[in-house]
Amino acid sequence: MNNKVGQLLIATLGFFWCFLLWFSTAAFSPSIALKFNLTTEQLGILASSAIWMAPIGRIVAGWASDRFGAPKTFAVILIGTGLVSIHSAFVESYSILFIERVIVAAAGVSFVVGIQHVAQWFEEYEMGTAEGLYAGTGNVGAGVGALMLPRIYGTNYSDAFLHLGIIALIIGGFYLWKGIPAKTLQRAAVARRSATFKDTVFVWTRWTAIALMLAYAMSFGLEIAMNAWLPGYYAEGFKEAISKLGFAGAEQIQIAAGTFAAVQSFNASLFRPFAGYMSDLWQRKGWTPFPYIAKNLSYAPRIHWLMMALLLITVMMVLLTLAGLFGLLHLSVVVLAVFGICVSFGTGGTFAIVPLIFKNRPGIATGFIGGVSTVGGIVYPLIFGFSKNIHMGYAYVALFIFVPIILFYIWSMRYEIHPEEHGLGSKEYWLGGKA
Amino acid sequence: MSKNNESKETKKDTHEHESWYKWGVLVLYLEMATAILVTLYSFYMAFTGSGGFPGKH
Repeated sequence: MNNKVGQLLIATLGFFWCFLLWFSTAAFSPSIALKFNLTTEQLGILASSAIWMAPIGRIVAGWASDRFGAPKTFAVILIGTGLVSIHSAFVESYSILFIERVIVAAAGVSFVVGIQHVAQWFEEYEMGTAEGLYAGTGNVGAGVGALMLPRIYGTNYSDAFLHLGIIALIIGGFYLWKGIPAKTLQRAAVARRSATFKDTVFVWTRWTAIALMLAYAMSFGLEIAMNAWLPGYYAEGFKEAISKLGFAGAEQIQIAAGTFAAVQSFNASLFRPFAGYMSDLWQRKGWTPFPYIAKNLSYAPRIHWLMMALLLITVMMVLLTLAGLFGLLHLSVVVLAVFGICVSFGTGGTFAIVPLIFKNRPGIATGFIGGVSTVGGIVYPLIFGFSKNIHMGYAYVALFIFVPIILFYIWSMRYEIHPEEHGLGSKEYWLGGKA
Repeated sequence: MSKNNESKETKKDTHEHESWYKWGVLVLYLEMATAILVTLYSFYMAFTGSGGFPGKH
């Protein structure tokens, strides 16, 4: 397992299992609600609690993976959340169960650790595909959990939590045993030396880091927001159209709405490796079609590919609104399928760039970009929900949030030389002579 | 000097990929195929009103 493919496999397996743990509570929320007589509000809080740990947790995990190495950090996450998952299988109080499941949901912070791990092993020209395979395959854990866990365990969530926890311990031990932090000792040492407060502030204040964080909020932040929002949107916004298809009653409408919504989730996850591959392809071909954005950087085509993804996401959001306003369910589902693919272009495209721009600080950069961007998962559903017309929310977000983000992205990616050095305060100010 | 090197370096990638790469690409095609199947299933539901999760509809 000392070759890079072996390390990629370990990271992907660990991440896949962490995503299973992350969303395992949601998969059993109806059973939990039934057992503890939860109200709709309590159920909503339980669902949203899955994201609570992500922003801060990912920032800390990113720093820790640079400082201590990805294998140790990943093992702590797997073993820690695994132990709590095992304990939660025997809990009889809802309050304690809730707290413990919030802790288990912290397994989702592992994303940034694996990104750092893969970045420490692969070369620039294959980064897009490698990171895409890691993140895309790992993300599937969420969909597999939602689809398989209730079928395997029925309403017996206790057994599921117990088994998921035990396997997490085994994978955590395996990761610690076989995982190697970086391809070379020198590469690991550079990352370790960079895990300081000043380095963190330096990364956080770079225009490029902020632009990539916003791009990820436009893609992954939107993806997790839509996971939570879409089933309710279709059930409410297309109630009549779904009824006309023959789905009678709340339960059947819920099943149909959930299936339409799953299109986004599956496409956004499973096309992600393809997005990384496309980033590699644009790099290979040297495509830089957009004006104003840098064209001569060694990774310039990857920046242009992400720009393409951001434009497509914005267009799809407007189309979703139009399909909804005209009451066209069929068109809406078709647009949603394309939308999911475009979102994957954004997520895969972002993390094909991050390790290249912040080569010496991959964990800190990944933690910031992958962590803060998840706030989108909380903000967008609020905008969607508070729009007077349920279909208008997508257009509002596209025009008033995404267009300014794209303009900022273009502005911050215009530097032809060392774009990572531009931001609030110079590199010398924050780091002195450090590389 | 190093700054100039970065900006003038090959924008067009000419690296030869290792053997793992073609397997990686195969996996990503399989994943895409899975996503397309789920999408088609969902389209089938949307356009015909039938389908649903097995045993539920």
